[in-house]
Amino acid sequence: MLLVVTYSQAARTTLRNICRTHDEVVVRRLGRAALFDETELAAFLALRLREKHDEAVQIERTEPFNEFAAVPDAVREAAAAYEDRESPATPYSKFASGTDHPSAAEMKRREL
Amino acid sequence: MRLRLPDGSVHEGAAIDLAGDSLAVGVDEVVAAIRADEEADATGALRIDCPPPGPGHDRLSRVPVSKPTPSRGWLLAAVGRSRGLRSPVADDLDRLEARLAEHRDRAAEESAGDERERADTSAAALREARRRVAAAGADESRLRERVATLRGRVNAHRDAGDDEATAAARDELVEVATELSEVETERVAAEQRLSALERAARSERDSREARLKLEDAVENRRREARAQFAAELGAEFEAALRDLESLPAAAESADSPAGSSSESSDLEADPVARALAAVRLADLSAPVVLSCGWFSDAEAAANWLGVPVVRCRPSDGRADHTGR
Repeated sequence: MLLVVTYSQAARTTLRNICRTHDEVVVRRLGRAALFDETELAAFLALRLREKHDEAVQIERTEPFNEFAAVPDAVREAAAAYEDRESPATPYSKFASGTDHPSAAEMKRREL
Repeated sequence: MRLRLPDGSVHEGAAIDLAGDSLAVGVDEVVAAIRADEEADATGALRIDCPPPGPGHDRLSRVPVSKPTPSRGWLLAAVGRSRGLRSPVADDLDRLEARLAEHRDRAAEESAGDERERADTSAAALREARRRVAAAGADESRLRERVATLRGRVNAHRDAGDDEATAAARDELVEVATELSEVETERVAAEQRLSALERAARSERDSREARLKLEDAVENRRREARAQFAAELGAEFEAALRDLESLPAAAESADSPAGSSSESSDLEADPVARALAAVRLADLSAPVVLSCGWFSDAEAAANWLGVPVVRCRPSDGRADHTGR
């Protein structure tokens, strides 16, 4: 999908107008941003928006997140185990220490 | 008001005191009897003949109220309704609430209805679909590598002129290539299933989003209405609290959370005091059930509150020492 984010009032207004007149390309509206589906028309609209408002428009291409393909088992398991913890007040660092779960610092260093 | 106890004894008047009664009649029972239809009530049960409960009585039928810490806005909204005040956003609110109810009904209908035909868009189903895609993808790339290796081996054996080894490697290559094409088919099927689920999940999210917007709008209108009532009735409310403070029995009600403090800001913090002040402001004709301190007897309570009163023992069994 295409993620279109606006950074000025004028750009936000244009985005709003696009969403109103072309709701067939809009997957989700999120305030001053929107997700467009991946069609040429969506790209055309996003590009027109950028032509008009230059740096006040950011366009990113997103892809579906599949945690089983993109994320190591250890990270997935750590997330599930931490959300299942007994005491809600335990911070992750304390929860992870002395276990096989990766530390936040380790995860920060490693890219997906 | 006319109240008949299950044992047949009858009390009459605008102030009825059951706190000292040996028969334990609970607050819930009395409130239910006030709300009950006259015909619906069976003989032998607690029965109360009184004016029907009007607007606002739902929240102010008892003190302490049903909420442990009723906010000033919540109470004053009930006062406003009892007086027939209508906030300027009331029509809006009615409309929004009706739409929200419609939304909820539809969602309930959909989840109850054609369960087999609709795709399961639960997080668990989506997770399982993603897991399958990932697993099939991993199998596929492993087999693809294996095919490449075997192809190299076949070539090497052929170049070396070793016919037997070439044939063996070729057989294995055919076997692995067949497996690869099966796994490929599997992966494509898994991907199709996942994208179908994601499409279904997307429309599910559409209706979630619409509902969230409605819920926000309802909340905002309610807040506006509360603010409006609070502004309109605030001065009266504070006067009632000050008046309550000056009651002789107020000092005795040490069982209330505010204790015997004479600070009116503390009184404002006391949920019972707030509820009493609200009942005094409200325009109620049906009786209110009290199970709190503050008043020396039911009559004093009825006089100060300006409504008929039934006084009960506190439902938690705590002795009501101001009633003696």
